[in-house]
Amino acid sequence: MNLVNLIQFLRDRLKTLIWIAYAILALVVVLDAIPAIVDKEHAHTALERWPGFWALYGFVACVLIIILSKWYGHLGIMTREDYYEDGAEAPPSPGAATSASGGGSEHSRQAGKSKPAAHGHGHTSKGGHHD
Amino acid sequence: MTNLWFHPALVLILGALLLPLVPTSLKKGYLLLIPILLFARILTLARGEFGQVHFLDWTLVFGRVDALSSVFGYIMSLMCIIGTLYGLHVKDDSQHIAAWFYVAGSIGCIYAGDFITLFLFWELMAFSSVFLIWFRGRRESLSAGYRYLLVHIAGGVILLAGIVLHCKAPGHDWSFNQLDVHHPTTAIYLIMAGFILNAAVPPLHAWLPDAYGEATFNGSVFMCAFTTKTAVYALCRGFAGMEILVPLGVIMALYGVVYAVLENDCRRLLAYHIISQVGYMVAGVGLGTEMAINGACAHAFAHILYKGLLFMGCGAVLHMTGQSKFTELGGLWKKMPWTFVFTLIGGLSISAFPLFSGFVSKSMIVTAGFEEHKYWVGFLLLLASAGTFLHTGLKVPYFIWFGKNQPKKETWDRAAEPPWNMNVAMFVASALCIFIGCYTPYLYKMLPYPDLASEYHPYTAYHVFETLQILLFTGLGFFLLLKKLVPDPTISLDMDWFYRKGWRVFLWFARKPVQLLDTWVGELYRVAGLVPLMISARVSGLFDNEVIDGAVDGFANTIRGMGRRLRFAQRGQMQQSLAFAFAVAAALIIAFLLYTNALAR
Repeated sequence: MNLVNLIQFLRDRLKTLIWIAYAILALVVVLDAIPAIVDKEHAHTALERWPGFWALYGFVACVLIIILSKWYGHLGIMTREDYYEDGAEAPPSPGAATSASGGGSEHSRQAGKSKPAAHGHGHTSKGGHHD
Repeated sequence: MTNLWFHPALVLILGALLLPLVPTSLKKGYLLLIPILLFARILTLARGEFGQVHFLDWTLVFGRVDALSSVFGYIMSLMCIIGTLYGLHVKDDSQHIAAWFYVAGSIGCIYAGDFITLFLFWELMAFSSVFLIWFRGRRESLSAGYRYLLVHIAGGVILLAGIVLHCKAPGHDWSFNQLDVHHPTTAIYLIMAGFILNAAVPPLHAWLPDAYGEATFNGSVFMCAFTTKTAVYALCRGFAGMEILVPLGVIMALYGVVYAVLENDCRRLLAYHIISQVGYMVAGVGLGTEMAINGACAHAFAHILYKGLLFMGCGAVLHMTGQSKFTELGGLWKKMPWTFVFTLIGGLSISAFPLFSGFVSKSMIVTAGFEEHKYWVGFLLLLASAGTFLHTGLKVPYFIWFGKNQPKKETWDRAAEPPWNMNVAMFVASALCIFIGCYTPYLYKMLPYPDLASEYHPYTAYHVFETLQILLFTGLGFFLLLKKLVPDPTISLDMDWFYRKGWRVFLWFARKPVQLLDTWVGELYRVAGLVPLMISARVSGLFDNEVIDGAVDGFANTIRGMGRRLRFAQRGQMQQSLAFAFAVAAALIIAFLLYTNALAR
């Protein structure tokens, strides 16, 4: 379990690690700006010759991806986990939510029950139950 | 040429058929032996065209061995060894058989020299891989498997339509070569649609996260490697330089990244990143230069290994804890540290960190874009690679192995390092990822244009610093915006909505007018029943009971029967429907071919 100890060791020194990470970030940008180290002769566009261009590009890309994706997700793309599971019969529009289950049979039954109420035909209620 | 050429796919097919007869004590050895034999067979293949069979009017070519098919055959068989090793402890023979048939389908496509052979193996892949989803055994996997199968059958029919139209046109035969992409016909577009459905190009992509998130823990390891990359092979073979593939590929690369932000299931996140990565390859095929085709092949090669590795890592978490959602996981570094390291290596490889495999392959496609002066391609692909590191390199490892989330006690108690064979498989894949990244000639010598590849040097100071800046500052953005990235227990709607909810719209429309009619008949009955009542209650009663009631009941029963049949059509009798659809399609095609042949004579 040496690996666990190593990770624990690093976690205990998180502050130091963060400072090292910042130092590396700075170092990469500084080294990139020194022409003797990074030859930008073959860069494709003028933009790329700016010092730190790719650092800015990476950071902006990351922020854009997160913010735009989250915005898109909250337009209604992200939804509850059982979205596809709820009663296989549920209609897609909320307006039709009353015909939740049972489908045609339930409605013919309801229609059958409403008949006697309308004109007092006792025997017609049988009709709705002839399954 | 004679037919004595032993097709590499036969190694797997025969091996799979004999598997149930192998005694249990020898099974593990046998499971390893067959993929190794396959790999050996592929290494010993001589270049040329073999296995020509004359069937009816056609000449089928089962074995076209050239530079392009060799590199894909090599990596597919290598992945078969790693994937089988990963699932070595699975006792269920049928899972191995399904996986091997699936790989055999892929190998068959790669060496196919004509469209008919290609199509046969193409369908073999779809029909065998669906079992890798079904074997998960959940109710959801059953539905997901059917959806997967239906989408691929639809794709297969489109492909077949394209093939038949293309090959029966004057001046064409059945051989599968570079198509005339500068003057595309309807047939060429249909073939392309069939291919890009398997490559998961939006909007034909939703089957991929749906299926790969639902397959067995080792089934996904196979699936992530073969279907899309066989499609990439087919695109390389037939569609190099097809302009429309460039924007499609770039859209893919970004589309996968956007959905990966929203995703809560780690395997679905990885699936969205397959779409993103295959986008690079599709764009490379669209660019069509030698550099771009080299890049597409190299990236497919590297991708199969690191994506397999990532699916193995997340599959190990799923296998050991039973969970694959970020909201159910967290802090696992204490329990599964080695799985973390392997997954991290996969994440660094896919993110194209220097010294890892993605760095030497992805950059070829980006460079090809810049060289063609399509700057937008290069810049947008680099944007997507920032997103790749953001998710696969940072989000996946962070929220599974670290993060603030504390998993449930039973998840935590179950979590442990996976069995040895899974660890060894992950180790082998990790080692290969690093080896490819450090020693470029290994991969570059296998590419279709090796001379050009040997002149390409990814490790220039400029390229290294460009990549390091993009990736490290993406990392900075990740940690600064960490709160925004904490996964929510949600799912994201995608194009599969149209066939998962769309049928309900259809049912609703079918039911609503029927309901109206029902009410209307009821109303008619009330009016018609009231008048006779005024005249004679007795007559009315008789009439009502015998005639109208019967009609209403009959009508209601008919409606109910229809509803039931519609509901069946959704799942229950799907097998028969599928078999029927296939038989009809096959009969139509044969009739068409016979008819045109008769005309030609």
